Amino acid sequence: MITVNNLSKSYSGAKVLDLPQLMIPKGQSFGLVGNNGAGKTTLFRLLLDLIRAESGTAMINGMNVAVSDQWKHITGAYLDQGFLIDFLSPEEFFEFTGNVKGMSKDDIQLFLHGMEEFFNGEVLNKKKLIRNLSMGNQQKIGVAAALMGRPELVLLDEPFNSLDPTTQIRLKNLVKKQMAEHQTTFLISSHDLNHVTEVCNRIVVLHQGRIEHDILTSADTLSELEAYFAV
Amino acid sequence: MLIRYFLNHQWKKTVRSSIWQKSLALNIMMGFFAFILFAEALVISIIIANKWHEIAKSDYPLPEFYKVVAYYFAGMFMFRFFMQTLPVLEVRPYQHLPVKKSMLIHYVLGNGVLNLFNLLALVFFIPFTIAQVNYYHGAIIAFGWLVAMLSTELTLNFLVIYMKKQLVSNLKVVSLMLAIIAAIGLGDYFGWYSFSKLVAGLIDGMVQHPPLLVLPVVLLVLAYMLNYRFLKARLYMEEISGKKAEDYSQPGQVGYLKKFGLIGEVIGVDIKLYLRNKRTKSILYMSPLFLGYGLFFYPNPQYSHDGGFMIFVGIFISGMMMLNYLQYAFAYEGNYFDLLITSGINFKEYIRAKMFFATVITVVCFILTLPYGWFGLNILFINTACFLFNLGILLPVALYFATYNKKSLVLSRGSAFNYQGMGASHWLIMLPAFIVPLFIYLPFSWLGNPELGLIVLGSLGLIGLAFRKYFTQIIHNNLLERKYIMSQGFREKY
Repeated sequence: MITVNNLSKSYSGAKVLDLPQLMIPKGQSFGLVGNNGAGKTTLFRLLLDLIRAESGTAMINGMNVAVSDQWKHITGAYLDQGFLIDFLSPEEFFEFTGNVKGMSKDDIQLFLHGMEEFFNGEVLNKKKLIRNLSMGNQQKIGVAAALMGRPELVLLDEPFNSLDPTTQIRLKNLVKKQMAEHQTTFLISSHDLNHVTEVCNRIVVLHQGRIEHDILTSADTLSELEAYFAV
Repeated sequence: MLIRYFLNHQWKKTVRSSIWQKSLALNIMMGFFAFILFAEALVISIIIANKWHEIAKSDYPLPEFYKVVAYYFAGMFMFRFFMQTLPVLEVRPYQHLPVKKSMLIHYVLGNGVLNLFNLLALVFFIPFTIAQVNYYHGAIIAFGWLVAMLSTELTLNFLVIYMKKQLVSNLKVVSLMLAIIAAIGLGDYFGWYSFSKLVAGLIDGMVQHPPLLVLPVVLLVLAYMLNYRFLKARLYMEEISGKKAEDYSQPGQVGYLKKFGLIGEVIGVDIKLYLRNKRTKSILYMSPLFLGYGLFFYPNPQYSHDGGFMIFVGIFISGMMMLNYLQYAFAYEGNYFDLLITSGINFKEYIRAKMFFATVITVVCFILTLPYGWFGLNILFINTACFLFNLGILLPVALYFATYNKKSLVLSRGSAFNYQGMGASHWLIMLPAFIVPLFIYLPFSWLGNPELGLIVLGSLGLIGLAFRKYFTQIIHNNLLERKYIMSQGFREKY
């Protein structure tokens, strides 16, 4: 699904990301952990062609993201609030995103219906604009919008942030369900080791822009990671 | 103590913002021009002050000068209203700190006193005070006179700030003030009384009865208090609730746009953006002013026979709204630019949507201003030529340069302290838009064939329209080239 070759990026002379090679097969849920400044968000932005790579290529389904545009139709993403149009109501935002993703009106209704549990009754029909919702609810909207149009690949940067415990659990279930039903590939970064080990079947530890560990999740993974980070 | 931090923070905010660093050369150039202008103004002011009794040809020439002062105040007031940048301080980061609220407000207001307009007042008044008022009335009254004049200038300063703040939040107060000003101006114009004589009389009265010179100072204090109380109330609201309670309404739903697919979708979001954000709404409030601009000039034959000036007005009335829209076509969407470029929206469609909407705006402005034809058929011709030029040439050019506007803007923040990009530089960028058509028209006009100039102007517009596909391609390539830089700039919340 994702192939990265010699991808690197520097800011004012310092390498923030340097990945000789990274392959993520279809259907994998890929967890990205690492302390602040490890290069997680930089990698996301490079994969989404939001910043220009210094060297190397990132490919989604064999398409170079910096050249083609087609990958956008199979990719959903939520990195930060820059992915929300905050002066729209949630309904309008979903309608907009759905239309852009080529969904019909019924598709959108069906999709929102399926999200009701995740929204926990706090998002739709609240008669509020997105900018007036709490951080947690904004996060829910962004994550849900990333799942619209049945993407093959979904990128989520710290999706568990500012979600309440119930919603954190529901998000994990949602991700697992998507993977089981549609073989969706997920790329999830998080500071919460419990969550990533539970959801992801492969975990990569980034440190100063390089891959430190690349492990397939097993029963011992959590303790391994805790040992690594307990410096 | 704290003031030092505020100044320091503001300085850093300016210097570290990407727009400053990237356009350093432009800033230096503007600073240089400003310096030259000031030096010239100072020299002229000194010369006039020393020769005034010869110019006025009178034994007691001061009242004649007071008339000039009257026009100076009136002119400055208008000029300030359109050009003055309002004092900005992001107070939010300081609000939870143990800083006195009053102190924040005094800082914001005091900071506003240090602007070019007030400096100009010093240049204008001081030489005359020394050379003339001092000569006729002695040092003490001269000093009082200077204080009175500077107080009046500062009163105007605070009145303009108050009006511009109200402009965003309360249209009624501004309309009332504008109506009063218009009434004063019209009264003078129709000769019911003479504004200059009235003001000159007031100033002379104060000079003859020196204790009255305190009056302008009292006015200044009142104007300051007005601003102070206005800001204090605003700060309080933010402090209490964090966000202003917003009444929920969803204006701008145009279901009919859905029929146009993606283009309609993009335009739909644009319309909502305009109707739901304070900053964009204030531009909409100003649109009658843009459209009504012609009324200032057409009734006056002195102007309406000067073709060059009419070109300027013509470009303005049908193009100003379009330019306002296109200049920020991407910057207004900066807050979700990342979404736009990753969502799979076809950029070409996106640009086409922007162009289509800008076209609609221009056409509507043109149709609304057709009644100006009542002032003469030549005005109709001029406006049509300008309209075509706006549509064919200025529109794609403005959209092309919009990709260079990559500073993130706060659209939804409470209005009290949010005036980014509404100052002189905003207008300065628009200057070429008005100068180029003039340069095309004037040679023909000077050669005695202004009609041909209009035909050339209009034809250029039509040619531009014919090449619109080509322009779209160029803008598209430019957007692709610049999207990383733009996305980076928008992500940098100042």
